[in-house]
Amino acid sequence: MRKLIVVAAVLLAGSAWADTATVKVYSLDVKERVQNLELIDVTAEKSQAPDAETLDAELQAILEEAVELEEQ
Amino acid sequence: MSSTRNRQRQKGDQGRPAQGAGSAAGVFSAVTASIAALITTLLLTLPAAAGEPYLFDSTGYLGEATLMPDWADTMRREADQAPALDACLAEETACPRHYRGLRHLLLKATALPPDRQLSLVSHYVNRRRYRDDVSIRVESPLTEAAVKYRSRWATVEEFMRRGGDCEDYATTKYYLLRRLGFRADQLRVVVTWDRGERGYHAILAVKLDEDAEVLLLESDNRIRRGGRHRYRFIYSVNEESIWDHEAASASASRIPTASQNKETTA
Repeated sequence: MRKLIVVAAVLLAGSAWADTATVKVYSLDVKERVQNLELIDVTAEKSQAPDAETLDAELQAILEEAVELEEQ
Repeated sequence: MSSTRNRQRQKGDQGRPAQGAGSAAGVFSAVTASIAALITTLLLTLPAAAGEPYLFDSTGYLGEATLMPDWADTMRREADQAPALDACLAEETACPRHYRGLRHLLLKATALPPDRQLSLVSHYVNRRRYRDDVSIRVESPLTEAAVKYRSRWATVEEFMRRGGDCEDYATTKYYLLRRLGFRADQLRVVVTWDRGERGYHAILAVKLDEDAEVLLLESDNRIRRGGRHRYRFIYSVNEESIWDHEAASASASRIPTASQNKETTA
């Protein structure tokens, strides 16, 4: 009986340690991945496309009024 | 006489297969040319339709948005600066010059349906001046030794004051649409690898409702739908989460990721 308890205790301790280790490794992986992603330099400049969506008269008027206010 | 005729017939018979071979060769070359033309046409049109549609699902979920220090910092600054725009929207006299046009646009846009709101916001933001990033020095949180440079993502106020580059266009559209009532889970700033331009690019992905097609808002005034793009999606963010699309697709198809490929910025 005592042996059984000892074995169970060892198994439980081992399982708990294994879970902690997994979480730590995962956490480190995520941090490293986030850092790599964040270092991507996003710099593309794109001019107006020939097949760009055009605004209808109502939206174009709002846009022009907004631009006019900025230029005043 | 008959032998002469026979010889002529034989000659003629000999000639006929030769003519047949000639016409077969002609047909063969015509077919080859048609196939070549078809392949060329496909290759020319393929880049516009080669992408996978962007999916608004949880594939590649990496963690909370605050895990990404620069994006978290942008969100913090945006929250700090938002009251000034609130005051401007409430009272015209409280508006600094760089908000006057934006105030007019936002007030007019509130009466529009969502699909028209995003068109208007996208065109307004795309008119702003393109300016290269302000790079900042950072220390690696992992090694605490390496010093690296990275770009800083602008808030609405920073973008309205000085313009910005592609991720600033995307984040400004994101925050303006949030002001117009879009939910965070309808919007994602997506960083992509543009296969055509050979460079990293940021766009805003918008999902108008649950069953709607995802719209990709570009800084060149295009709104792309479905798979009609040349992008490989790398990662995306909104105020809540980060999604690592590249790692998700790499683990699905076992292809190397961008960092493993050592791709350089265009």
